[in-house]
Amino acid sequence: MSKISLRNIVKKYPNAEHCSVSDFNLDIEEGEFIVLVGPSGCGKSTTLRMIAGLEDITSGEFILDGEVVNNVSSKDRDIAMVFQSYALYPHMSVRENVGYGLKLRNYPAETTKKQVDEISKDLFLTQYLERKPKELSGGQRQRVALGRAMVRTPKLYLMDEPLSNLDAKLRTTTRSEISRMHRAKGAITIYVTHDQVEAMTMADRIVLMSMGEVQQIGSPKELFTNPKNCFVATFMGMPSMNLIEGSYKAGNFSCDSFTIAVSDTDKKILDDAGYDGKSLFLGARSSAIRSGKKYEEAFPNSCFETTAMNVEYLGDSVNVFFNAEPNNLFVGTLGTGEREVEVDEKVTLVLDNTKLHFFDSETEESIKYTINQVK
Amino acid sequence: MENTMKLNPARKTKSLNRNFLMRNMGLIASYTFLIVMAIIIIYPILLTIMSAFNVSNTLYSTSFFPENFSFTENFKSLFNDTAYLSWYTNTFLLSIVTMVLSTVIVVVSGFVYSRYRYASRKSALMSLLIIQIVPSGSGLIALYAMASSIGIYSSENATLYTYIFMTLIYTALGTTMNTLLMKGYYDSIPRDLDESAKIDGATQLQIFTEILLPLVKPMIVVIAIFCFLGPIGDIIMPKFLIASMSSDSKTLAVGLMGLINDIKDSNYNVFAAGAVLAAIPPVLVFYKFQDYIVGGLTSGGVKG
Repeated sequence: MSKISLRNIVKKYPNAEHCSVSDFNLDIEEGEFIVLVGPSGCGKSTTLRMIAGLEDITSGEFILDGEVVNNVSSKDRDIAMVFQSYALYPHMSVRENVGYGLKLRNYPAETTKKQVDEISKDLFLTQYLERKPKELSGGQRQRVALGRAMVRTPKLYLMDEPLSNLDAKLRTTTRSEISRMHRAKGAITIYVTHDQVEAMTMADRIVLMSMGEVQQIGSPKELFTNPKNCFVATFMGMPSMNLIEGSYKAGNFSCDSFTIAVSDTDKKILDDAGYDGKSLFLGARSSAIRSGKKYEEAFPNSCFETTAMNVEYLGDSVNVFFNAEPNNLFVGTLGTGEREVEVDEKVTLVLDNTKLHFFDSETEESIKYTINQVK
Repeated sequence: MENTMKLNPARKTKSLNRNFLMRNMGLIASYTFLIVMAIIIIYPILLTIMSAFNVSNTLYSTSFFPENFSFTENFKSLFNDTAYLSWYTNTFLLSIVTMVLSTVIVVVSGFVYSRYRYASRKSALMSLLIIQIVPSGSGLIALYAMASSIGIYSSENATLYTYIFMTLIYTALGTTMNTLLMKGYYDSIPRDLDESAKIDGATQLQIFTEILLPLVKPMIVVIAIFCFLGPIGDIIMPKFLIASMSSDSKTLAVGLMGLINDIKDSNYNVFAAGAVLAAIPPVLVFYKFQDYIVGGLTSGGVKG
């Protein structure tokens, strides 16, 4: 039996036309790090707030340790939460902030002090313990918020975009801090973010949501390599996956800009699924677009010539943007050792046709999803 | 180039000076304005203080600097010839009780209006605003009729009951606008704090007393002072309600007013002495809490 189960959770605000969250199902095992990710307004924060008990659950069941806790107040759910705004109590010192939860649970003063000291040592806050939150920098406040959650050992840690107010460098270090704390505590963590990089790097499993609906649940690798639909495919990965509409016929995919041969495995899948002569979406990650003799020889039937519209230098790789008719901007990432491309230069690019994705042009569902899952 | 500059040093300085004037025009204008305002405000206060130490009969013959200076004369006659001490205690008792009652009500009702959502919330807030439209003076006759009809004036303890009645009215007057102010201040405290405390394990009462109350303290002080000052300055309502009572039962404003009401028998200098003494508690309160008052009225709240 799983530690936490969310069954058919629905949230509908009064007077709202649509559900903010519809039919959310998830089972979480002991010690898992779950990341809820999605664009803003997709219902991920609402889901988290329902788990926290800050929002009512319209229908469905939230089961914690085998008990339905829909109507249990947040203070009795034994959870800790880190807020996006940190929500530190401005009138209390760092020590009081961190120890407040323990104080409310009637821990003896000595234990509280010891635990606060321990956690602040862990988070490098010892010298700031007597300061007020407004005398701290953003990163320090963030660590206080983290410490306030980590000082207790609840059943469940909830984090609502805790890194979004930090600068990029601090974000990376705090990210690994959170991962480290999670491993040390071993309690379930549910983490909300809109940043797919955070989701990829931290999660055991990712729950990708859009418009209040779960799009796909799986490990970062599953979501990246086997996206269920166009939305998942374009949301995960940076730069996002290139999608182009075209038609498939007898092992060849052709759109306005190019015609390429699909791999033998893909040909079999597409023919079996009855897509011969039909239109579909081709999805190619920028890393599947290459250049150079080596690739041209390896994939002689999937080369095409195009003009580079823009070039982004990234250090050890280069993003090449080019126009793919009818209306898509394509991007390929060329690594070191491949040819250097100038803006407006004509260049021959190769599609690595072993790494292609195909989506139904109407449902936008992945054609290879179920087959890959079985594998 | 150098030559031309050397040729006209005077002209250059002059233009620099003019620039200085031009550049500080705004500063000069605002200082002038502030000085004029300060004089307008301070002059009457000084005049009152000065005449409190001047033994003389009329205000008109009083010069700014006392002619017959006496430290104590006016104050002596204030305490000997009038019931000043009992006016003083009447007024400040009335003020303090009003202050405590309204502040407690405002602090709780502001919290409820800000943090809870219930069916009648909107209409209740609206009615608080609408009540502000009616001038408080327009209800005087009704108040008198009310007081009379519940038998306050015919009872044995008429004075005590009148004061209780006035306390209730001042409390009610003090709560309407201040509830809105207080609600606004509560609104400026992010709800994340409540939620965070809730998850930390706090009950509603603990959230209110341990998280929100310390944060709204500046506004509580401001509102308490407003409520404290209200009854001290008011003259119309007490004059209406205690007109028929003995001299002992008057408030400061009414009693002092009596000193200068009669053209033939006015004593402006004793009045001034009484006014100076009456001003001391409010001045002390303002002095003690000036940081809170400025902070409470200007800051938009506490952002963590």
